[in-house]
Amino acid sequence: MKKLVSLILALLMAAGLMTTALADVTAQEWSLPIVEQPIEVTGYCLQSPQGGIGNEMIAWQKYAEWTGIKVDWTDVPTDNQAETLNILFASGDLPDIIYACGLDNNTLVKYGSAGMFADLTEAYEKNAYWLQKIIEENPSLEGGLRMADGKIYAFPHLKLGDNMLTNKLFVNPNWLKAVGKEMPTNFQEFEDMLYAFRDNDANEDGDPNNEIPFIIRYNDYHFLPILYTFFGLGNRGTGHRYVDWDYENNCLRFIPTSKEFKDLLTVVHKWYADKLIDPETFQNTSSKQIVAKTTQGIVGAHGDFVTNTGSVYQDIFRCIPVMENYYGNKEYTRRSQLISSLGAFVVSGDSKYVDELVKWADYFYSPDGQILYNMGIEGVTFEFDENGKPQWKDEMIHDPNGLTLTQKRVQYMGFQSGCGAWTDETYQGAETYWTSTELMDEYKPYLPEEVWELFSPTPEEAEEMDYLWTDIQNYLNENIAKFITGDRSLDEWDKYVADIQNMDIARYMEIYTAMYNRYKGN
Amino acid sequence: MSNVTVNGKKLKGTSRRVRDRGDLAIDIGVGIILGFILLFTLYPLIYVVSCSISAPSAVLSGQVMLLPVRPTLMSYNKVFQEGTLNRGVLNSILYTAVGTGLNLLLTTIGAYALSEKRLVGRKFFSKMIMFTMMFSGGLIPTYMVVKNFGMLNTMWSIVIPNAIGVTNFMIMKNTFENSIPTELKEAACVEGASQIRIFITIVLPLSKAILAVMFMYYCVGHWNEYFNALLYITDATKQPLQVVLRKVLVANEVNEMMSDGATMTSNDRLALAEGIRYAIIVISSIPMIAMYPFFQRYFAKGVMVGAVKG
Amino acid sequence: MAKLHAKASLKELKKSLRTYWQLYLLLIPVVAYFVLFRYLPMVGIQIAFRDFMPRLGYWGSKWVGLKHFTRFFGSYYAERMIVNTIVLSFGTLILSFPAPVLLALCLNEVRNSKAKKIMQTITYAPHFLSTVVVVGLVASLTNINYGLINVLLKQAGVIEESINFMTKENWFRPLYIISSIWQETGWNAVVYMAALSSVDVSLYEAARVDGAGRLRSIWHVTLPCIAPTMITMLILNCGKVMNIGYEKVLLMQNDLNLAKSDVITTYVYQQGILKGQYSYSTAVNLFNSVINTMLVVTVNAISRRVSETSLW
Repeated sequence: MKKLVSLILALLMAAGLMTTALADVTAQEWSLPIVEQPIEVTGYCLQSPQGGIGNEMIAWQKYAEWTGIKVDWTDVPTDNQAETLNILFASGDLPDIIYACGLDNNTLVKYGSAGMFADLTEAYEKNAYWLQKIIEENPSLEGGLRMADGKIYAFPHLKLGDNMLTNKLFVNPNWLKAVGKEMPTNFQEFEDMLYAFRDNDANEDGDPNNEIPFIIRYNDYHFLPILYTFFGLGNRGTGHRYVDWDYENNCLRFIPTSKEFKDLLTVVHKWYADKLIDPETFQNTSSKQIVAKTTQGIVGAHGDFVTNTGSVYQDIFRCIPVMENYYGNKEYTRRSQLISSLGAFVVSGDSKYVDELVKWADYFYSPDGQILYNMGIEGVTFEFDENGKPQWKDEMIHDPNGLTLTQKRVQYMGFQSGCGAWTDETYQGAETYWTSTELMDEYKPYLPEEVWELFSPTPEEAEEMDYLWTDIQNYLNENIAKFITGDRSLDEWDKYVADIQNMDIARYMEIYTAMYNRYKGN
Repeated sequence: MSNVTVNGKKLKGTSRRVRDRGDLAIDIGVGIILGFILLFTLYPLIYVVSCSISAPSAVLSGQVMLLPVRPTLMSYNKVFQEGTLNRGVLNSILYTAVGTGLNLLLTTIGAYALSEKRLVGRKFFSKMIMFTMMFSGGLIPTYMVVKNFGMLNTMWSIVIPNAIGVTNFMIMKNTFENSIPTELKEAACVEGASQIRIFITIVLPLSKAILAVMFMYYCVGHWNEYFNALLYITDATKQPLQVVLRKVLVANEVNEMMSDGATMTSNDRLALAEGIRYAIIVISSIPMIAMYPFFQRYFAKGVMVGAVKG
Repeated sequence: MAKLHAKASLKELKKSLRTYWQLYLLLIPVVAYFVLFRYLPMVGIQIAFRDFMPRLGYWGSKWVGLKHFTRFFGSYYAERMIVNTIVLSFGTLILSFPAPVLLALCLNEVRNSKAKKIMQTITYAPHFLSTVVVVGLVASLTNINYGLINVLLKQAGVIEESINFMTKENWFRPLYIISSIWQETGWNAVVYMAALSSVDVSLYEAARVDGAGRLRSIWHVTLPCIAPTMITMLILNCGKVMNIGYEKVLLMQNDLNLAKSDVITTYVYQQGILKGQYSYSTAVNLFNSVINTMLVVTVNAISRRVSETSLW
């Protein structure tokens, strides 16, 4: 009987999926516990700097009680994470759950289609009530969730909420005052402000020459996304670093060979040569350097995490409202996609408990689950206030032994990017800090009209793209840096474009377009 | 060049030479070279120790140049707070002891056997061993072999896969070949000693220096073992010191991809991580560095003169 | 003629077995180790010619022949990587060779044994610093704002503006090699100290009788005696030329110095290991191994002709 019901449901769902682009909630709402008889499974979790999952953590113990599923956790250290995971996959003995390891689309496709990761599609459609509810409110999610073959192999780690998704620009208003300028409203004013910072003793320490007007961290998450905002590039979100939408030709645009990108390089080269950005930009690849410099009080503006400026400065730097960009358009393109990590939860192809584990993961998308995931256990780590909002207990924030909140919570629940969501309401960090949130409403009208999730390739596409992209990526890294420092003159722009074309960027974009069409079709 | 010993007795009258201008020049030259090298080497060492006892934020912002800035033992405290530290030390001592013992045993007997010039098959075995230095199965195949032998999560997975270092083996073999005179071995043979007896009673005592060197090499290798332990040992109670220390470091670092999950902490955490990094180096290297002076006496000279001549 | 030769070998073998049977006994565990833990894993090298998929195992994975090699050599940057690897590795090998010998010789001349112990301990201590710290030190010293090197150079009037050493491609090799010399000299000198200590003292006596001063003694007695050790070390290091450690290069590498810092091992780490492409990384490593072998065989052959020392 059960089988017949499942079959009918499956047929209905299949029909439903084929006729609608929007996801319907097909699963039934379910409640704890997940299983009547307690079961035990194994799990691997990434030991991020904020800790893995220890079997002694209260939150996880409680969750095991509530669900009836006890997980025996092993930590995968972040150091040499790739080797450890590779060995795990190569040896073929996968644990039931792989959690918070940030597996990328290529890995998911490769092992999913080979059967090493369980196909979660059916179990998802049957059981994942809460995840489906989130997708109902955010339909673009579905395209990012399903792989090229239409199947689901992993549950994602999500960021929900405007603040979580919008990283903004900040400036030190004391410096503005010191050089007699107002908050910039357009590109030219911004640049003039940088010059003013450079030439005057903006930080009022007696030395007019030690200021760094604008600091940009040189890594994937910050460098290009920040610069793009000045040129209207990256208009479909930060998930796609080198591709966005070409409005003129109604197709995908490869940013690094576009005319606008040349303008970007010209301007940034000038900024670098004129010392408006840090001469050490290309070595500022980690938080370390940013923190070191901002805490010395020599930085004027930045686009980094406010918490990286130190306990003093994070309250001083204030958000810059959306400016008119280089072309006079008022827009802000630096907006992230919802799925911050797709491979946050994966089930082994050999596991006996696919349905149960899918529910185990789905719980974290529910309102109760989000609180468990972000705030811990009521009475232990947080209390509800008079508005029904969860607030950290005092001893979590002000630990008598001087531990920070993040370190303290490691004792109770850890802090992983597992299946679940960080939301504006519950996440405590740079994005939800008051200096980030105060101008959110002003930013809203200028955000991208559409933000793409990451596309997913078929295994063949993945292989071909990899083959092509390796060289192109290396070429871009090297030459963008050289154009900016002046080691390569922008007079060679045409040769640069020709080189990239010779690396068959056309074929790469062909495949990219195919992925895009599939994504849209969903 | 000070003492000549024959049959254990020191020859008088040979301890001093007439010192001439050439001697002085050499002394000065040696002094300059050594002084330069020492300075070159001493600076980073002092720097590391200073960083480990400086205020972490000073370390992070590059303020520490030579001497400690705002001295504090905070970094060390952080490391010693780690509960599994003692266990890690004990594990490391065990693995190092067993591992080094096994290393020395296998390397020495193999090197000695192949140093016998008249052994048929000598070249064959030497080549076979040398070949493994250039070609290796790689990470995953080696892991599979270790796994299939059931050694995962045991001490053996650390101690056996690298039981013989080809470089060390070759050095030892060549040392045996070059510094043990065949006449010595033949003399003993004539007196009816077996191969193994010759090895134990004659060759080993003469090879103290190289044995001491190999002991140090292997010992340090085991003590610093990190990567293999990381891969093969998942049980936290069996992890050696370096893995434990690295865990402490990582636990105090900041995840690059996310903003911190709490307010007002990134810079303090990053700073602390820097301080810890240096404290860890001091803690983990002191035992090895302190070991050497004890071994130096095996590097003394003049142990062999007179035994064969006359 | 050949038959006689073969028979003679068999006879020799039997004689050897009879005389040296104890040595063969000693060899058994040694050979067993190599067979089980070095040769057995080599079976996995075949995945360089396959598209390895864990579930299918070695033998079940699809055979693709030279596909991975074609991919590697067809890369836009293949030539640069190979050249950089060889230059960096050989450069380090050759330039860092004299220092440990020199150090050992100098230390040998020190008469005060206490001072000698202290000096030796200091010189080999840098070996224990982690790569991250060493690169951090290099970055600190070469920093354009407060780095000691820039400060001193400016004070001495040698340069006007600070040089950003870490991002200038032409400084990559010098920085890498010098920091390697500085970190490893003391440690590498240890084996030479041991070799020096087994020099027959009566040889010095004889030299002195012949009227040689200290310098001449070193040249005619000491050096020839430790020459075998030196040559052995040289040949052994040639066998590791292509395997330049990726960690240190990766830490010193940035997008501006790639022209010189792009080496095979960092490429394999990023493309092979980080992306889980086992077959590809195995293929490239295989290429490295072949080059290493050719080098060692060549150098060993030369050494055998020129000196009496060789590895086989």
